Amino acid sequence: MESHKFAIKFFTQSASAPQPKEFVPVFHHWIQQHLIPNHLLIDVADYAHVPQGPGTVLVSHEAIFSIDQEGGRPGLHYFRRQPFADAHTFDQRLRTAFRATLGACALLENDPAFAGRLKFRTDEILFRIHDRLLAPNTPEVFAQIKPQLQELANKLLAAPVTLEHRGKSEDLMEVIIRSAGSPSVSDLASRLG
Amino acid sequence: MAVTWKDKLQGVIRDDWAREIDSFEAQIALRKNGKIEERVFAETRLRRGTYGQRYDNGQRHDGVASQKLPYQPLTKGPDTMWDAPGMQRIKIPFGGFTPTQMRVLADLAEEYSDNICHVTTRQDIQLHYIHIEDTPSIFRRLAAVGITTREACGNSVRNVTACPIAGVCNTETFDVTPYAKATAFYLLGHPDTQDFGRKFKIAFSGCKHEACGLVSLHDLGGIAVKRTIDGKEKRGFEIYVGGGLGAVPHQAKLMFDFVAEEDLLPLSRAIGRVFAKLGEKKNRQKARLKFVVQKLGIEEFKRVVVEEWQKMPEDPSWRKFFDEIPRYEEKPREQIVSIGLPNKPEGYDKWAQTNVYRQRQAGFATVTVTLPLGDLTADQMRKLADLTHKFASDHARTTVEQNIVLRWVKEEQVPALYAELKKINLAQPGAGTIVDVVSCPGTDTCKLGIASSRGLAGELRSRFLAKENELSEEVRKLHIKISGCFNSCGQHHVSDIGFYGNSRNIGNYQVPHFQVMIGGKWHDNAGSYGLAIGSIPSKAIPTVVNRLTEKYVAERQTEESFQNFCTRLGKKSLKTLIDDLAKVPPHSADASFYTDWGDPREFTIGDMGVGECAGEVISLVDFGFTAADSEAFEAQLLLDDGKLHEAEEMAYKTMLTAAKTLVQLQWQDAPTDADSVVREFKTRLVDTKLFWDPYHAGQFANYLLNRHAEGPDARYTKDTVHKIVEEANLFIDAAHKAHAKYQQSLNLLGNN
Repeated sequence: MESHKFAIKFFTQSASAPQPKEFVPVFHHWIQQHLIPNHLLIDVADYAHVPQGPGTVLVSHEAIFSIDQEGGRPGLHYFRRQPFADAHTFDQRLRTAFRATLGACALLENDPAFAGRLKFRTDEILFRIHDRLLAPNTPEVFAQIKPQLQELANKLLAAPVTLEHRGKSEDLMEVIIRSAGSPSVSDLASRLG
Repeated sequence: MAVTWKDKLQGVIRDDWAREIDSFEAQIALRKNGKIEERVFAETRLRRGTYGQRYDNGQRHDGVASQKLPYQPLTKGPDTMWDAPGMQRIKIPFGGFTPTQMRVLADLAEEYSDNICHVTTRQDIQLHYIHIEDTPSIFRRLAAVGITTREACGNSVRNVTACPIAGVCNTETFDVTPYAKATAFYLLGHPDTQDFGRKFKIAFSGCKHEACGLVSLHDLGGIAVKRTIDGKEKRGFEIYVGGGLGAVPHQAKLMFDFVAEEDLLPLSRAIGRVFAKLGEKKNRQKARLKFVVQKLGIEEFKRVVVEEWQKMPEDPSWRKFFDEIPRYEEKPREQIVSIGLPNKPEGYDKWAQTNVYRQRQAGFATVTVTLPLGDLTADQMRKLADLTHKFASDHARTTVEQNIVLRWVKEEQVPALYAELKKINLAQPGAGTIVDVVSCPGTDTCKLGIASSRGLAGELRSRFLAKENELSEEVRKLHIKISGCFNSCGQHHVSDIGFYGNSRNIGNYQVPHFQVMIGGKWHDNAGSYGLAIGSIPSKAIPTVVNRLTEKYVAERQTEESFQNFCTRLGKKSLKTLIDDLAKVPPHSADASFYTDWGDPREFTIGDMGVGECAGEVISLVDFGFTAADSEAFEAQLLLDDGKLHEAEEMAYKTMLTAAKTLVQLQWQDAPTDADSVVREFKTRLVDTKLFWDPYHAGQFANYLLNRHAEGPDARYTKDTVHKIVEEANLFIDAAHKAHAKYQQSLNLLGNN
């Protein structure tokens, strides 16, 4: 798999999660303090007016972070757009993308602005590849990425994990990672190393 | 090596567009190698709709201090960092697109952007936060479905717009759609539209008294009219020129009260030629056509254009586009079958009041899909494409009010369509009402934005939605349009209530403000522009809107329009109404005034950059040489790939391009076929010893002359092709020297 354009989404735990607009000052603060390592943070975009849209967006040179509202299920969405500097294999790229996503989730959970109102679920994770050229949504591509994705998910979640390949051929490659347990994002981050 | 979109779409894209994209890709490579000057590259990308975006100079004020964004040092234009995300504008002529095209736009938003498709006030689609390196793939995927971004920006003919209900309208004289299409594609890349000092906007309207295509605010506009000539009814246009908004708004002036349809394209070309010749090239603030018209006066401008029209070289290519016009047809996919009205879903009646237009064609309706601030997600765009196919016979158009209309919907199926739109959160009522606030991108993404137009628009929209049921009918009908600065991309001049962003210094702080404009006329093709009544802090603007609308409701005379109401009360009286709101509380009392809507950072105008809308004024010679450079580069790549025939041909083409560029310095309308180029090159440049090296004499010229006379070396070995590729590079160097020599000779003549 040559693509680097991975997207990972961790859903929030409850419907009472903060509203997208509440993330605007938080993301600005991240830019001020350079809080995401290995990402050149640039700007914040507010799409709260778009129903089930990207909510609030934090744009970096390497990736787009958003408080995505797709399907009415908010979550932190990480979309990698630039190649990974020091991650050459699919497995390395996966780990780097998960590390960045989990880091952002942990930062949000611990942000005083949300005062414990924000927790991410880990029993269901959305994984996509935004690349119809190199990763069309076909059973063949799923078969190609499944072993390493499964291995990483097993390690992260430390529980039985299932991968569900979803969507139509014209959609993005999409996999839902499900597990019985829901460890904290910091647990996942520590298992990733 | 990984497969590319170029490989995948080989043979799918029409040849000339594929060549242009290949050439742009080569120019990207050349710029990365420092082989193209940044100004030339900037105008090259701008002419492909690839803009810079806010903070692309590598500086951003984070609310506390200005921070440097540590991009790599390479630039893609003056003060524009290569890696900084940018905006891609995609031209949609007359706003018309098909479900297939909509799906590709959705895919692009999903794969390269932030998942949002944005509809602009000129019927374009914009994608934001795009990386320059992704643009060739984006162009190819668009070109594969018949969309080009060529001339979506830069000093060129921009998107040709038209009324979104043209062809189905009850009051139009005739359908202007095919004329808008013909004009758009005839002038696209036309040699006579390549040397403008500024952009050139064209619009078409089918009606004079509706808002329609907003002809009055365009450089060139046509309103459909019919005349009886020799007993026969003829189609034609009232032609208006020299309109424009911006800091100095001008109403377009009537140039001809009737131009026959067959004269439309040649006349447009003649106007383009006059603009290229007489338009300002150095001072971009005075470079739009409106300043030429103002300076000459409409009668003299008309005389100059007619003279140009009569003497310009024949260009029969317009015929091909004109001949397509009668063949243009838009119709429903199948015969209408009445199935009776199904149950109306909840909310249907309210939505239908504002979002459904009964077409001229009995039994059909046009449905407006209201987009908040012109935005929809990739997923919504894709599903809307499906609905366009299912309900609208594949006919959708963007509107200048930043919405999308679906045409040819069977009336009895409108409730079912509404139910489907509801499922994808696109069944918002209030199209064209005060709730449907229009806004340019402003400080969200635009380098020129001063205040947050989208932030204000979102705020006003939320407030109207919250009290929608309380809004009186006369208030509901009003339009609000907002621009982030005086450049008027939000079209605030032609709105009942308009705003444009500015800033005021209060103590040691800067405070975002909006200038309040009232009484602009949307109908009559943007018939008159509003009056400024004062600059008010951004945070007090919702109160301004409340006061103006409440006064209108309270003091309106029977059936009095908002424009007439403003005129009757007068600017002074209305200014008095809002004067107290101009006062800004001290920072210590209310710090919220010192931030903008939707942005918690302390306000500053320090992030403003140099706008790219004006483009870079690059001479045709620069463009010609850049094209030759990129062809030489491609020839080298082809050679490296072992494609010897193609490499040889490309090297020859490189020399022709450079030679043509030099010939056109002396003869703008010189024929461009190879024989003519070589003949004129020899006569004008070689025989006169302009293209002449003191040591090598005519050797470099002979590379072209010999190749042209004798054809390619039939051996096609790596060595023979390598030789001509090298010769092409030497020829370009010699062409640059010849250009310098020519310039020098002109300067000497000038000094004498």
